[in-house]
Amino acid sequence: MTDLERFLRLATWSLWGAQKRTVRMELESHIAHKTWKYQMLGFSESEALQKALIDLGQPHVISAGMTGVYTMPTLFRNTILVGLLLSLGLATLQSSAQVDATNRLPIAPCLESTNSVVRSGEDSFLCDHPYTFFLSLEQLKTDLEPKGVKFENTDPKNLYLNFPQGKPVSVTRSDYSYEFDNKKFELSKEFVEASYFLTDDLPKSELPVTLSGWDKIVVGVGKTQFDISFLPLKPDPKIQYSPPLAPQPEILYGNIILESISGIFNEIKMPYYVIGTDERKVESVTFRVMDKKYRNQIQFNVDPNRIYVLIRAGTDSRLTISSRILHLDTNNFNAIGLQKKLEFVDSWDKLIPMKLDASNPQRSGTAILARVNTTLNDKSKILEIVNPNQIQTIGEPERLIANDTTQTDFCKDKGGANTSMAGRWSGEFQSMSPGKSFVGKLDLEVQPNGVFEGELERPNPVLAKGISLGAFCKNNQFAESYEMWFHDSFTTRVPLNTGSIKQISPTLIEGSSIERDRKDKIVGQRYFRLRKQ
Amino acid sequence: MDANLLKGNLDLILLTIIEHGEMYGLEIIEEANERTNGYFEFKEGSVYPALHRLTVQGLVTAAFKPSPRGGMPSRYYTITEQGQKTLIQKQQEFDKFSHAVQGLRTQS
Repeated sequence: MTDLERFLRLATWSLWGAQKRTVRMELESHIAHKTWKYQMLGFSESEALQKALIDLGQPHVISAGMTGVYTMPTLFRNTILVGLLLSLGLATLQSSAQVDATNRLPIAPCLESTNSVVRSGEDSFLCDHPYTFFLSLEQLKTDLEPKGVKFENTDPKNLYLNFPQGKPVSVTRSDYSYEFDNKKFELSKEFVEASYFLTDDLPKSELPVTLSGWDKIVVGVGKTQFDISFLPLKPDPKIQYSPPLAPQPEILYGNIILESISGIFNEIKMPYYVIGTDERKVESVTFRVMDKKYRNQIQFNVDPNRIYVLIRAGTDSRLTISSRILHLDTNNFNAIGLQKKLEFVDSWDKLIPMKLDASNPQRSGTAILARVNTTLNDKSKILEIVNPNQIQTIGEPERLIANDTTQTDFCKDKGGANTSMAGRWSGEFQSMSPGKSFVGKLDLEVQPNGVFEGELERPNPVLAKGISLGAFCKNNQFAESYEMWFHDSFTTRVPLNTGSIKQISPTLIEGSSIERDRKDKIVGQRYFRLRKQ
Repeated sequence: MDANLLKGNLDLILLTIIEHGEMYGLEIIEEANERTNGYFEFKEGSVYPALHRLTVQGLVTAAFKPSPRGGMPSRYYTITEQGQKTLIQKQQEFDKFSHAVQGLRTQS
């Protein structure tokens, strides 16, 4: 699902039928217009879109505002009455027998090899657009109609589903169309998006909507049940998949989880990990951050056949999902390496997306472990936070200290290092805020142990800025990165006195100046390089 | 600007902007910023529910029309006769209020 699509869905969350379409079209037109204006200012298409979305504000605020304006539209109210009558009639035909519907199409726009933006970071791949699954409408019809589920197509963009004993469900139709494997998919005609269908559309039937299972996912709408299984993907070696063919249940549950937490957080900045309780092998995942590697071993009691999600505060400024499968076949697994032991919290407001600043460069290890509820009707209750007292984390930081930075292991497999980290580094950076372009200077004095002091100098006082530094070994191979944020830095000279880049032996330091506006949104980023003097 | 003040007078502001001709959402927002030199810090998304509320109340009508830059059509808002009357009424109320506050300040 694209950021635009997600925004539009959240903004029109509470609306039905004609009102939903009107508001959606109006907002889409607004966003397109604003995006175009930002592009005219020199922003890339994706940056322009992000800025246009930010300008509009939080989608749930729009949704709440619209809810206050519209009650259920008359047209649809009538449809519901008809639907209720139909449902009452059909209820006698409905049995509680399981429906063997098998929906498939385990592909998503982000798996395209040509248009997707693939970023390689640490040991993962990030995809610019959360990928998703689409259910075949024809398959749904074939499997559900014989069991009393009525499909009502009023026009190509409107589809109503009548489940026995439930209210009519308006199925959201997507306008996506794309090509994959030389096939063109017209999604609005052929498919419905799975996670939206499950968490948004179906609950409007007012029947309990349940989801369970991992390899074989069973969906229940009242007494009607059907399976979602996935066609095995046959990897094409010529295609760089993004992510590299992650197992589908994780993606489906991941999208549902994302939908449920998107109402809690302004932006999804934290990585999360979906944990399924099946028989697969446990994967150990670590993040190396700055100079320490802390392997958290987490133990908790797992309810059989339940899905868990581990969410930790992160620093990603992008609206991305860092997705990685973590299956459980035991009740303990190694998850995250941080500077600190993970600290589990018991409420969402304590899971603050961490921000580094020059005075506090330590990364927090705040995390939440949550069970995914099997009933999806209330999004705010899809995730049930596991009491931190029921979780144990153990582990030790794996320190990789080397005082002689020319000899560290970081560059060992990357062509080696040309020079010691210690010394004076300086260079210019350029701000890229529209109309406020300026050139600044950055000086760093790095001690042999990696601690640095320095100064950032710029001609104008700026509200909030940050820099990220990356160190590279020979052949420009990336070694390490470090970020700092300066808050309330209205001055032209910013002291950098608490940094530490202990573990790198760079040939150069490359970084980017990052500018934020008064609302703390990133408005500009410019890359620069520092050379050793 | 105080957000509550803006919120409390949003209908008046919107009706005033579209008083002289049909406009679409983004145009209204930009017009408000331009005419007040950025005094109204609109959160763009908050304008749409307000415009829809005015539509439901019959104070404005709305219709999709081709956008000036091409592409997707924009939803244009036009003030109705009832909207004109409401606008005059709201302007008078605001003037009275403003006058009363001025009076308080003068006396103090």
